Amino acid sequence: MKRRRLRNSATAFLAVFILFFSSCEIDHGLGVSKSRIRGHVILPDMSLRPDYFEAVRIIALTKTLDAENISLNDAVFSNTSVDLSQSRPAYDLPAPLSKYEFVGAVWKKRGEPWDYTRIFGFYGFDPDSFKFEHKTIYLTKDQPVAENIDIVCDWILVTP
Amino acid sequence: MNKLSAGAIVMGFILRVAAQEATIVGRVVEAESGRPLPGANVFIIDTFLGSSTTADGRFTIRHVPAGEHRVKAAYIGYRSETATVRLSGSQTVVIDFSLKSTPLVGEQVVVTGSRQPENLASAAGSIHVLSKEDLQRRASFRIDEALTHVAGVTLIGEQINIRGGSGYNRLGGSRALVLLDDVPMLTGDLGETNWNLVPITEVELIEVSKGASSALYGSGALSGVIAVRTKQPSLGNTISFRQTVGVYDRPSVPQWRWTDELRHYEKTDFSWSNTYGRVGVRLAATRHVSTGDRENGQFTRWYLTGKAHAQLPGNSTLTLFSTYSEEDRGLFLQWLEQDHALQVPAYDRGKTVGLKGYVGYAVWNKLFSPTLALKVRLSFNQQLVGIPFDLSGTFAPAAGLGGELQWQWKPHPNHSLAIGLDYKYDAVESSYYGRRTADGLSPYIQEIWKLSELLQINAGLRWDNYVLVGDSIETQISPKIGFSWQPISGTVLHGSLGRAFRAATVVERFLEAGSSDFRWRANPALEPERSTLLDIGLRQNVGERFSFEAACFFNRFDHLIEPTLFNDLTAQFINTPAARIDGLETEMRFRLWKERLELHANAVWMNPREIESGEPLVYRPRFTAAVTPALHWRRLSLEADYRYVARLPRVAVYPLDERVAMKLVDIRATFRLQRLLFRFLVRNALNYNYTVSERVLGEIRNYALVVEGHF
Repeated sequence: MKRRRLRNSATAFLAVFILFFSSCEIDHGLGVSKSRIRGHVILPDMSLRPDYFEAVRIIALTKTLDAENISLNDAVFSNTSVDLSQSRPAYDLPAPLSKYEFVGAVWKKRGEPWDYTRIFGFYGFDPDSFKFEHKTIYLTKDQPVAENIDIVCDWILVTP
Repeated sequence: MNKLSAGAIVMGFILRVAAQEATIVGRVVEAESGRPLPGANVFIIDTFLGSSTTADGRFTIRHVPAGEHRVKAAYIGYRSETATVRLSGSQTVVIDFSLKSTPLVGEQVVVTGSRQPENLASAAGSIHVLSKEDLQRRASFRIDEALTHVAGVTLIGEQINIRGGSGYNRLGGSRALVLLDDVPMLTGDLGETNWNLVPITEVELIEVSKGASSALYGSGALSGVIAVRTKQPSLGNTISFRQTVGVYDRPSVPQWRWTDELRHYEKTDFSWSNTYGRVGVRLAATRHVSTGDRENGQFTRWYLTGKAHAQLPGNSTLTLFSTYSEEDRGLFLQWLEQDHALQVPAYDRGKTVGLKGYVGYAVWNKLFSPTLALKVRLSFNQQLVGIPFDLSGTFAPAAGLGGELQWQWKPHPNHSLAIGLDYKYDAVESSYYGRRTADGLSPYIQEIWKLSELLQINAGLRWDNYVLVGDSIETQISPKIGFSWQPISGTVLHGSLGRAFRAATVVERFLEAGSSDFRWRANPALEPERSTLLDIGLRQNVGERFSFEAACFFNRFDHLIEPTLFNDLTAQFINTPAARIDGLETEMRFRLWKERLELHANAVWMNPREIESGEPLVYRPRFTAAVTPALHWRRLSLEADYRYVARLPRVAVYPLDERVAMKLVDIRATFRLQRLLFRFLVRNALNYNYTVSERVLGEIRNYALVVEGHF
């Protein structure tokens, strides 16, 4: 009698346990970045590439370029270089939900550390007219991905 | 009276005293199972006469004067017992103790809070003890990992935070002092701890003292002290081993899978101990190899440890200790990107770093009388702690010499004094900060004054004079005062107020180096960090099965040294504005159902902020909690740990990155079979992903099998 009661209790406990956990959605914390900025880097004639020009990364800034106290903490940048063998390499920059005032490409001088003030091109830049049309990008919960954010680059911005 | 006859009288007195000295021997065992309790404290009340039990639970107290004595045996997690003995002549008396386990805050002897033995239950400060059983049951790999189970202690990167005191000042010095058998372990260059120094299987217990402790230990003890005590040699021939094998699961995010190979680890611990005549010896070796769960996550660690403890003539002992560790590991500074969180950027692929550490010390203890003792310690510490940004190759080892002389004196049963002198010498050299030497001489005094059986006052003062040769002299006076009061049985109120400091380290002041992202600039004008810490707490036992602890703390920090990134892509350590961390820490334990069901839980609320701006301090969580339920059924134990650390409200680097709270579940089952123990563990059972520091993911789910034996 006692054993049966114990068995029934154990079965009931197990059933509740399984029901509870099967109805739970397990929180796995961080995952892949759901918000991102995508587009192409429109490179200039790479045959004119100077020897000191090594690599290119994408950068997105939450402040405008003329703002005071811009630091790396206001920036999101890619960890890998853009493929410079293509003329229009695609990029896909994971970026947290925020307002981005500037999306551009920065270049690295050979033998020197990355300097994020060395701008190679940016979104809204037209090298033909040398015009910069200010375009803010919003990554929100409803619209976490910004597509077709093409970055136009030009050698005119590159000085040794 | 001439000199010769006076000497003869003194000698005759000593011989007569020696002739009247007795010896107390015995064993301390667990009442329920009869198994020995190694590391238990057995001592004669109101004297410095005492001993710790060996691996087989045995103890010997020599040179006990004739008369009636109360002998007490105490061990963490067990109810202490007292026996009264009457000794006459040079007899040997046997006393065996059977201690019953209890969830109550016991009468474990701790020394970290006052530099002299005192009961944990009546300590003035907030002290937490991690017993050997706590370390064993979780099969932790390293000391820092084990410390994260202590209330109010979190780990960011490899930096230990006691009540949010440290934050995360990468390359900066530790704000919690780490002691290995009372030898300070912070390196002379970085002021950091090499957590690989000693294998965790050789640790007897860890005392975590929370609060300003410079009055006891000088620079570095800004927010607390972590005192690691190693195991003593056993009286009989003892061999122990532990074999751990484990495998990593697949990441919970399919995109993060970066290899088809099975990632795994294995750890082998072996120790041998015996006593020959009056000399006890202990040797241990550990090998820990892992492929890691990520790219560049592989490592190989070796540890070799030796300890000898000799009973010398004239009521003195000599302890010699030596430990060597070596680690080769891949360098994982940050992930490639959040979409590839287990991979490193191409420029870090294949990079490795090597860490080596050596610590040796000699301690001579002399008991002049049951109420007067002297301790003399000499230590040598040489460590090469790898430094990120690929600079380690040019770092020369940081070497440190230390010495201490400490008198313990009980002039009266109600007064206990510790008077000492600490000396340290550091020599470091690197192309990044040049050759630097420093030394310091620090006298200190500590008093425990029992106003009554229920009220105790602790007071201490230390003067530190730290000279960085050719550069600066830091002079600091650190006072501390505390009390504990037992208004009714089972209730203890305690409080402490103290000042502490941490001198800027050589790296913080002089580092000049470049990386691919930015340059470090030296700042020789750095001021030392200072803190004023107030801690008021309650320890409450309810019946035999429930205990509760709560402590409020009010901490002020001035001149905290933090790395700061400037707009010109340079970084420098600077003194930051004053900050406060106030909070409440609670902890409870209870047992039910004939001791079969056990629950241990803690929760800590904090409000870390800059005083002027009101902004939250970087890298300090506002809330942490942990719950450990356990079910014991005959030889089987089922246990779980749930740990929660709230999302960091503010970080210094990559603040735009997504941050989440840490929610970790570990589960384990243990089965005992005579001298063997089998344990199966699942770490991070829910495969939860969080960052331990910027862009570094916590370990993914892994399964381990542990087989342990003691012969």
